[in-house]
Amino acid sequence: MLRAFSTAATGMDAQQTMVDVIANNLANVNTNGYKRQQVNFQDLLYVKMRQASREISAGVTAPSGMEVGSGVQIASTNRAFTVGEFQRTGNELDMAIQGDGFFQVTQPNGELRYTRDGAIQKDADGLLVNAGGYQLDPAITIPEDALAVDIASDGTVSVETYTGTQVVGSIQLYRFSNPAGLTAEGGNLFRETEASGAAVAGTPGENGFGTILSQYLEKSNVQMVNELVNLITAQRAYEINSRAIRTGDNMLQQLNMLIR
Amino acid sequence: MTTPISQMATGLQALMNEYETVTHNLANSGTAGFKRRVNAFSAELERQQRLGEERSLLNGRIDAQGAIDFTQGVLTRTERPLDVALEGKGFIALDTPQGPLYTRNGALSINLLNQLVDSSGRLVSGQNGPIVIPNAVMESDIRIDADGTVRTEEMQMGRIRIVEFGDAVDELTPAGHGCFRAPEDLPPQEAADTRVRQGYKENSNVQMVHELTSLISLSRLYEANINVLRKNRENSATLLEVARTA
Repeated sequence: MLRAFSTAATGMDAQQTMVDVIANNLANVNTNGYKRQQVNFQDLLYVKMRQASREISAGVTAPSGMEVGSGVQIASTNRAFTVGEFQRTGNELDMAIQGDGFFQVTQPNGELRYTRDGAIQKDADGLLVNAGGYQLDPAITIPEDALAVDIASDGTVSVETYTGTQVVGSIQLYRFSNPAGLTAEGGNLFRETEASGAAVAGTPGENGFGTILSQYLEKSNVQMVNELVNLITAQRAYEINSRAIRTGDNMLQQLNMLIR
Repeated sequence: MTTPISQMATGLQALMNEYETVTHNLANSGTAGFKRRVNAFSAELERQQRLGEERSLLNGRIDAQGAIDFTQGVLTRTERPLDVALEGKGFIALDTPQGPLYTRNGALSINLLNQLVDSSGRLVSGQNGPIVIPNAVMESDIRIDADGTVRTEEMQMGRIRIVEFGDAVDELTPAGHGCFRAPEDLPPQEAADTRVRQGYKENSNVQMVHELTSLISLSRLYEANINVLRKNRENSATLLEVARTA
């Protein structure tokens, strides 16, 4: 009896986590470069009540055993690195990656982080930085006298000045063999881990890397309708699991009332 | 006296077992590749009561087996390249230190040794040993064909071993964590009619309505059984009373 209560509780717990993940996805529906998360459930171990092929009465053997399961658990949450929708911003420093790859930024302590968010700005020294103020790596400086900046699809950054056009650097992209292994750090940043493999650098448009789409931003790949449907399913499943507990409670109560 | 109390208690216990099975199914309504457990006790009980064969219940001898319902779950699109769902009766074979296991949950990923593993890190069994995804191959370039071949445009990395057990599928026992174990004398066969669908997952085949109705009917049956038990006790009390006054 108590086993069934905890079974239903694992169900409620799992659905709760599901709602947490969906809530985070929904909250990030407008976050540039956000990649939605999904939850993987798994059934828990089984308690063997009766062995299969055991004799249940003279000459009759049970064709199958009897196992009672003990509920559900979260096996993992993984991120779907599908490409989000592109939105034109007209901002000359905005970039979206059409295809595979991440931008690399350097944190003040020298550590490297990866992002799909291409909302790039200029800092006081003309260096290109991401929305969080971290330097794009390799570093690119826009000269003070630049009139306009142009970013080509292969990542070449050129500026127009009074004296003519000059190339000031090029954007590099980075890929991971297993992006699901990246650790999300908040601030739209991912950190390389042993599971993700080492970052492989490359030029946009070559060797399977995506191309740079200038003056566009990649929106979140969260699909509102899907998330809402998942939310409803999770909420109902939660409700039904709690109902299962109430039913069990009822059964126990009746049993209790027998003894008066 | 009609029925010894101890035998009625067996009926109550069986309903309790069924309740546990239903709770487990409900808890796994969102588990990919989950196959619902069937405990037909209350259904059998109701059938016998309809036919007026209640005696078998009173003997506490209805035998409900904890079978597994292997019907196909609905496939939903996830777009993740390493999510695969099976269409058909097959299973994905996994290699574990405890022997082979079989699963319908195809949320795969890549481990530190670049091998293809399931969501708990167990090796996916390939036709020629573990399937290794070279470092240079990016997740989004991986294609998984309907026959389980894992490849990119240029090269082939191996083929996921998809097996089936034909009519003997009922002999599989659940091993937990989304897996089934086959008895040793049951060798798996190559699955012929199972298609692998990349970017999909198979939903749990638990149907809420179904489980909820069995929850309701078994709690009612439980209540009815308790009432019979109570009546039984009142009757014997009356009998004692009659015997005393006589």
